[in-house]
This record gives sequence, structure tokens and C-alpha cells, in this order.
Amino acid sequence: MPWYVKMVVGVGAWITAVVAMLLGGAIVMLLMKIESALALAVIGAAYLALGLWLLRQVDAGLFATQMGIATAAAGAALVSAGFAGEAEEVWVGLPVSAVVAVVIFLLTTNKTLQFLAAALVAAIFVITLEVERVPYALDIVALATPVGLYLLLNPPQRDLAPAAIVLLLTFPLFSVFIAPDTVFARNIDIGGWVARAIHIVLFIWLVDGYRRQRGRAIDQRVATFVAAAILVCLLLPPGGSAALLLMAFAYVTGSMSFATLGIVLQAQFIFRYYYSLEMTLLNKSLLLMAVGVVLLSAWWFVQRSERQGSNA
Amino acid sequence: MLIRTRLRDRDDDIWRLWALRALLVLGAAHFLAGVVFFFAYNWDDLGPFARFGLLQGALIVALVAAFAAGLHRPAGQALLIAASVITGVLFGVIGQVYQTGADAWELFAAWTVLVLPWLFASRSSAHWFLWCALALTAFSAYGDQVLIPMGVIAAGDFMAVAGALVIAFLVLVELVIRAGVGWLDQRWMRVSLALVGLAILLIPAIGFVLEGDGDELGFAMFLVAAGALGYIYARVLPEFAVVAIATGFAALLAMVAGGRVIFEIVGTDGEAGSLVMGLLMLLLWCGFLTASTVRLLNLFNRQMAARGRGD
Repeated sequence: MPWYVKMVVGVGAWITAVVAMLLGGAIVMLLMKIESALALAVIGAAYLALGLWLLRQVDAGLFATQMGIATAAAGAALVSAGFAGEAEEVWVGLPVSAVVAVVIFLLTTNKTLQFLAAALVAAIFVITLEVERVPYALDIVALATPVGLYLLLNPPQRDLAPAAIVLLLTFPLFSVFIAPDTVFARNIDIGGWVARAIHIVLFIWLVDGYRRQRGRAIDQRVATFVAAAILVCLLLPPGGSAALLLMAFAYVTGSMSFATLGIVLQAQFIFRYYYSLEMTLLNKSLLLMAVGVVLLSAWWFVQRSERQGSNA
Repeated sequence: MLIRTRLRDRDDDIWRLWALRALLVLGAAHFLAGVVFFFAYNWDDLGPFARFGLLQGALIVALVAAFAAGLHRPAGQALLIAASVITGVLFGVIGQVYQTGADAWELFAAWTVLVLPWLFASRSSAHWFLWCALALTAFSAYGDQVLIPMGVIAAGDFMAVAGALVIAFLVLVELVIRAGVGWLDQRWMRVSLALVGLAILLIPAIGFVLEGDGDELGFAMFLVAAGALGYIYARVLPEFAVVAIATGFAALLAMVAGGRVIFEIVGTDGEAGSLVMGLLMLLLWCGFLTASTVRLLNLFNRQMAARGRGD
């Protein structure tokens, strides 16, 4: 079945799952008059179990699969929210969601559910950083990127690709969409230099790994690219270099999905950068022009070296 | 630390070209964004003459470059789209400088008409899609600022007309394609227009189902449009994506209608028992509808595939 049919069925299954959640909540809270937030966790656990059971059926059809994903994902969220609500502390949801994610990875091979479970952990982690006003949040979140990249390029025996993708995407999404608009931007140092350093190391690691595997005479071009990447990492805020890192990963692995995502994120970064309050519009304009000159110089140099190579 | 996994075998030529283009496009985009930021920083200090000169210069550069690149080639088409966008920005600046008092719909309407030469010259489906979005914005602004406040038409009915216009544009595109204009024959355009048109019509249709009166036109138009598109793209011009969209939206409307009927029957007096009973019935209804949609789409898919094979 094409993806848009799965999407149509997925929307239906999600609506059904939401009605199921409301029904469970109504039974426990209104009919049985239990007011503890832990009741949410109990309902969530029941839905999680139901969803996993549906997914483990050998002959599960399209609807059962989508329903299983929706029910289990909503169940996982309810379990985490239940514990966090009972403790009245967001961070409590973090270890709970991590345990739930481990259970999901152990009990099902469904990639969509694994991705959603890992994304839930990442979301609660980011929310915790924001609520607790943790300084250097950008640098802390940036630590997820090398782990994700390493897992994708050196996959372990158990398939952890959905978690690796979440780890790889957490920093770009956080830095482009969330960090500039939150309390981090006010009266607190959100960091960024460690993130830049991490991106530089990862650029070099990616390009070096590519060069070693390909074993071709591409040293001059590789050196040009690395020099351009380092300059861009130093000039741009880490959100911009994170999107460029995704594109470098796409190039090395031949993934058009990551290439498209990187381009979209970079376009979004430039758009949002206009509203960033960390420096004046004049300084931002000079920085962007400098980055443009670096990238255009790299393009000119690579193109020229290719022409010279073909002429020789 | 090395990369252990074997990097995917990929078409090196394609990715070399991609990398070169990405460097070029990203470099140009960052540089141009820097230029835009620079002018934004100094915008207040620029006089009207400089502002108009800047935008009109950009318009002329885009048009000359489009001619130089070839109007029907991708670079020329992209430059003509840029010319269309700059035309709109120019109108915005005229309104800003002269404070003409014109409503937004007049700006969008003038923009829609004045870009027609670039539109016809480009022969680009993307340009036509953007023009459709622009025309819809102009029409919506006209409705919001003139027709609805003056009581000429109700808000729900106006939305129904707007959705019907998008569907009409889709019909027009299909007729033009049949007349031999092959470059408009793009699957993404067909699917996007059907999706946008039906999504707009769905809003008043849901309003009618929930409120019971006032949005009859939207409800009727949604049923007609979904039925007609479903039939045409299943039987006449096979395109399963449009059939799936029409079926999915119809199922969504049926879910809302079921919810309304169920809570009319069990009542909404706040009693826990009624609420639980209503939710249970709604759960069964939604599950039934989704399962039926899957079966229906499977059936359509098989039938369309069989017809495609000529069985």
C-alpha cells in the first residue's frame, strides 16, 4: 500500500486511539472516581500492552498495525505523564519514558513505534531542560548528535536505527525551532561553543571515514570541504551548522531523505535567524555574507579542481 | 575511530553533482540572505526612491537573467517565479510608502493579474500552483474584507465557494492537459489541488454536521466534490492518491457525524454513565469506519490495478 493510504488509515487509527484514551480516562476518573494521576499511568500501561499485543500478531493487517502503533504510543505518553503528574515534576517522566522505550525496543520491531518512543524520551528531556532552566542546554543537547551518528554508521547487532535517527535530529530540531524562542534566550547562557566543536569534529570524522573507504585521490577536494565546514561551524550559530552536518551525512551515506531534511532545516534556520535577538541585524548580515562567500569559494575551488582533473 | 559499516553503494555522479549544486545554492542563499538582512537593517534610512530602485532593479535583473537562461528551462522558470514574488513585494512597498489606504485584497488582486505575463511565459506547473495560491489568497481577502462584513455571503458559504474554486481550477488544469498542454501534467499538482480543495470544503461540512444549520452549501459541495473526484480519478483518469484523499476525508466527516448522532442519543447532561456509553459507541464507530476505509481502499486499488492491466 502506498504511503498516503497508510496515512489515511493512520489518521483513522489515531482518532480511534484518542477516543479509546478518553474512554479509559472517563471510566477511571468519572465512573470509578479515582483522582490520582497514577490512574493515568495504569490506563497508559493497559493501552501500551494492548498496542504491543496488536503489533505482535503475525497476521496483523494495516488497520491493526496502525491501531497498535497509535495505542502503544499514546499509552507510553500516558504512563510518563501519569508518573510526572503524580510527582508534580517533569523530570520524573524522563526515566519512566526511557524505561518504556526500552520495553518497546525489546518487544516489537515496528520502526514507527520505536521512533515515536525514542522521540518521546527526547521531547521530555528537552522539556525538562527548559522547565528546570538548565544552563548550557544547547551544548548538552548537542551531545546526542555524535551518539546518533555513530549508531547509524556503526549499527549494533540489535537494530537501533529509529533511536539513532531521533538522537541525530534532536539537536537540529531543538536549536532551530525551540531554543531561540524559549526562556533560554533570556538571562541564561544557553551555550553553543561545545556544540560548534562537536560539529567540527563530526564533519572531520565523516569526511575522513568517507575518504578512507573510497580510497580515491580526492584529498584536495576533501581538504577544501573540511576547511569550509570548519569555517561555517565557527561563523554560524550551531543550529545552522547542524543542518549542514545532516547534509554531509546524507552525502556520505547517499540518503536523499536526510539531504532534503537538511536543506529544509537550513532554509528554516536562515528565516528564523532574522528574528534572533542574540546580535544586531547588521552583524547577522555580515556573518551570513561571510558564510556565503566561504561556501561559494568552496564550490568554485571544487569545480575548478574537477575541471583540471578531467583536462589532465 | 573509523566508520565500520560499508557506505552505501550509490550513484557517485549524481551525488557529486548534488554536492556541487548544494554548495552553489547554499552559498548563494546565505549570501543573498545576508544582503537582504543588510537592507532590512538600513531600511528605515532608505528613501522611497532607493527602495523602489532596489526592487525594480531586482525585478529587471530577474527578468533579463530569465531571458538569458531560457524561459522554459528550470533556471529561467525559477527566475520568473522570483520576478512574480518581487512584483508582490514591490506592491507592498508602494502601499508602505504612499499609504494608499487600499485594502489587502486589492494588493493581492493586482498582484494576481500583473504576474500573468511571467506566468504564461514560464510554462511551469510550480509557477501555476503558486499563482493559484495567490489568487485564492486574493479571493479570501476579498471575502474577509468586503463580502462577509457587508453581509453578501455567510462565512461558511464563502469558504465553500473558495474550496469549489480550487476544485474548479483542478478541472480546468485537467481540461487544458487534455487539450495538449503536456507540461502541466504533474501528479503532485493534481494531488495537491485535490487535497487543498477538499480540505477547505471539509471545514464548513463539519460545521454543518456539528451545528445542524448554516453551512448546508459547504456540506453539499463537499459531498458532490468528494464523490465526483473519487469517481473521476477511480474510473476516468486513474489516480489512486486522489481516491484515497476523497475516501479519507469522507470517513473523517462520517466519524464527526457519528459522534453527533451518538451524543444526541445518549445525551450530554454531564453524567458519567452517559459519557462512558457515548465514548464506547464512538470508539466502535471510529474503529468500524477506519477498518471499512481500509477495505474500501484495498478494493479500489485492486480494481484500478486490474483496469490498468486491461483485465
